[in-house]
Amino acid sequence: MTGLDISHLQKRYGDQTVVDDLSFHVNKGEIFGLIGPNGAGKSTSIMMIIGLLQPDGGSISFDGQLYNPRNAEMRSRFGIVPQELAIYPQLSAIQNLLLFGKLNGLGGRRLRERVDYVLEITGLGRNADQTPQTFSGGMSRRLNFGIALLHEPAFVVLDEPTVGIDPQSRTNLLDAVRDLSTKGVGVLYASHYMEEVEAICHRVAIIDRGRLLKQGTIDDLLDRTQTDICVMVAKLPIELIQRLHGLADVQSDHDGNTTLLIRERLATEKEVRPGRLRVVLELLEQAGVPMLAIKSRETSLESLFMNLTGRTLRD
Amino acid sequence: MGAWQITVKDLRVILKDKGALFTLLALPVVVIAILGMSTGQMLTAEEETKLVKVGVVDEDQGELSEHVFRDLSSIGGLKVEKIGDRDEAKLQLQNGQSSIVVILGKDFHNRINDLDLADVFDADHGKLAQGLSALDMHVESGAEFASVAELIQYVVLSAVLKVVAPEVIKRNPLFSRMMNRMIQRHADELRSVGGSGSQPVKPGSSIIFQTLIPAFLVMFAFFLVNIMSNSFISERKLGTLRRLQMSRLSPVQLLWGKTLPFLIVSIVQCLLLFLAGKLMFGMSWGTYPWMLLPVVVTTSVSATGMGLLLATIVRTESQVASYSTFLVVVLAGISGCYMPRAWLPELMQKVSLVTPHAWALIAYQELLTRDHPQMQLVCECCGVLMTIGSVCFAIGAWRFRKSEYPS
Repeated sequence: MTGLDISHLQKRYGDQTVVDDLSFHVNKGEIFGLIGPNGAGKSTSIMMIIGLLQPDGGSISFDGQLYNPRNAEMRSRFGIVPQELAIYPQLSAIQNLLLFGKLNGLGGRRLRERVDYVLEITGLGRNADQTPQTFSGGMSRRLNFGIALLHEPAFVVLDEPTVGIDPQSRTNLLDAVRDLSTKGVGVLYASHYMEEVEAICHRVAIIDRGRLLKQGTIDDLLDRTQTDICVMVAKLPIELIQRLHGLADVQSDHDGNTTLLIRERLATEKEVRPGRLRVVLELLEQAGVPMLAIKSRETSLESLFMNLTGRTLRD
Repeated sequence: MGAWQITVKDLRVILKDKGALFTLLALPVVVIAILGMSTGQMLTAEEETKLVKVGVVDEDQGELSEHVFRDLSSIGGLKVEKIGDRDEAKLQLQNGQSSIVVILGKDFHNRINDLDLADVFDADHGKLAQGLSALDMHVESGAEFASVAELIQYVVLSAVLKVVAPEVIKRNPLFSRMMNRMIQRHADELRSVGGSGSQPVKPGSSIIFQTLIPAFLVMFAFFLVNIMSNSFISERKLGTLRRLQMSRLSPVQLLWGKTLPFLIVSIVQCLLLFLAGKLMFGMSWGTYPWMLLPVVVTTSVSATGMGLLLATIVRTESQVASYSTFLVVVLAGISGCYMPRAWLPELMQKVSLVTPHAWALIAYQELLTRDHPQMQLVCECCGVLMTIGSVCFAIGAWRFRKSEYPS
C-alpha cells in the first residue's frame, strides 16, 4: 500500500490515554486534514508519525514499509513544518536554507537549485540575505514551510502552518500545498482553521480526546442533503426550552435573544422539507413568543466540528 | 560532515551574540585586570614594606664586585640598591633609607686574587679568618638590625664566598677540570629533562598574576556551561532541534556538532586570556609554555562535557541559571579559584579534587610557578580532566538519546 498508513496508534502518559486507537491512511498526492480542539492529541500523533515519540501501541508504515525513525534514509522521506518557527533568527534566510539542505544530504549544484526553488515558491527571493529577525510573521512562516521542501520529501507533515499570517501569505502557502499534492506528495495538514482545511483537504479526520470521531471526504462528512435553519426569537422561558429539547439546538445570544438551530433534510437542492421546523414554530406560537428572523445555513465543517466536539472550553 | 555544519552554524550564532562574547572573552580580562590592579598592587606594596633595604657602595667597580652585587640582589627578602659613596651610605643609614650598607673597597679584587684554595676551604684559619675586612669589605647595620649585626656579616660573607670560591678554584688546573666536568654533567641532566632553550619563570613577573590568571581562566572556562545549556534550550524552544533530529544526522553527530563550537570557543578563550596575561600583566608562561596547551585543551574538554551533561538535564532557562551558578561559583570556590589552593584547609584540598577545576589549577600552578614542574603530575591532571570530560559527554549522550529519541 502506498502512502502513509497509521494503524491503531496509541499513546499513554501514566493513566491518561492521549491517543487512543487512531487509524487513518493518507494516499500519495492526497491532502489529509487532521482537526481537533486543543488537547485532542494532534501534536502527539504528529510527533509519533515523524518518529520523535515512541507510540505505546499500533504501527506507522510508509509505502508499505514499517517506519523506522532511526533509518536516516526513511526519515529523509518526510518533511516537517512545525507549529513553532523552527528557523535560526540570527542566520539569514539563505543561510537557514543552505544549512538544512546540507543536513538533509544536499550539496553542490543540486542544493543551489533547491534553495532557489524554495526562495521562489515562498516569495523570499529578494529577502534571501536578510535575517528572520527583520521578517514579518508571514515571511517567517513561509521560510519555515520552505525548509521542509528542500530535500523533496515524499510526504510533508504540516502542524498549524498558517498561525498568525496575513491572507496573502496564507494564500501563497495553501497554493504551495496544493502544488505539492499535484506532484504526488502526500500531505498531513493539522490546523484549527476549518475554512483552510475545507478549502484544500481531500479528506479529513476529526479527533478529540485522542479518539477518531469521524473521517472521510468533506462532502461525506458535511452531508449536503441536510441544512440548518436558524430561527431568531426573544428570550425563551425555561419550560419552552425543555420542550424544544431534541427538536432544536438552543443558543443564547449575547444581546439577550435566542437562536434555535434546526436541522432539516433538503427535499431538492434548495427546497426544505419542514418537519421539525413546523413543530418548533407551533410551540413558539402557543407560547406567544414572537419570531424575530429566520434564515437557512449550509452545514460547514466548523458546525460539524462543534457538533462533534461540543462547546466546552478546552485547556 | 553534518556535525561540522552544526558547528559552523553555532559558531556563527555565538559570534553574533555580543552578550555571550563579552561574558566569555572580555569579562575574564576585565575581572583579572580589576582584581590584579587592586589586590595585586596592594599586596606588592605590602610586600615591599617587608623587604630589607640594602645599600651597596662599589668602590672597586670590577667584574667580581658587580657579580657580588647581582648575587646579593637575587636573595629573597632583600631590596638591594647601589649607592654612590660612603658618605651617602652613612646618610641613608641614618635616615632609614637603607637598613644595611655593604661597602666593597677599592682593593676588593686584589684581595680576592691573593686568596688561595686553603683560604676558601678553611675559612676559620686562613686569610678569611679576619672576616670581611680581609676582602676590603665593610658592613654596617642600622639601628633596627644592630642586635643581629654579626649574623648579617656572616650572611654577606657567605654570599661573597659563593661568588668568590669558584674564581679561586678555577686558578688550580686540577680543580678547574673537575669543576668543568661537573658543570658539563649538570648541563646534560638539564637537557635530558627538556630544559634546553627553555625560559625560566621570569623573576620579575608578579606572583599575583601567575595565580590569578589561571584561577579565573578555569572559573570562566566553566561559564560556558551556562551558554551551552541555553543553546540547547533555545533549539528546543525554536523547534529547530526537531528539524535537526529529522535530518540525516545521527544523535551522536548532532551532539558532536553542538559540542564542538563550544570546545573551540573555550580553547580560544583560554589562549586569549594567557595572551592578555602576558601582554597586559607581564605574566610568565613558565618554563615549558607548550605544556600549557594540553592543560588548556583538557580543561575545555571537561567544561564542555559538563555543559553537555547539564544541557541534557535542564528544561528551562531558570534551571540553567541555578545549576550553572552551582557549577561555576560553588565549584570554583571549593576548588580554590578564589584564593591560592595552598590557603585551603587540607581536608578542603582533598575534597576539591572531585572538581575538574582543582585538577586544572594544580596543573597550571605546577607549570606557571615552578622552574622545574613535575611533568608526571601535569600529565596526571590532564588525564583526569579528559576522563571527567569524556564521562560527562558519554552520560550526556545517553541522556540525550533517551529523552529526545524514541527507543
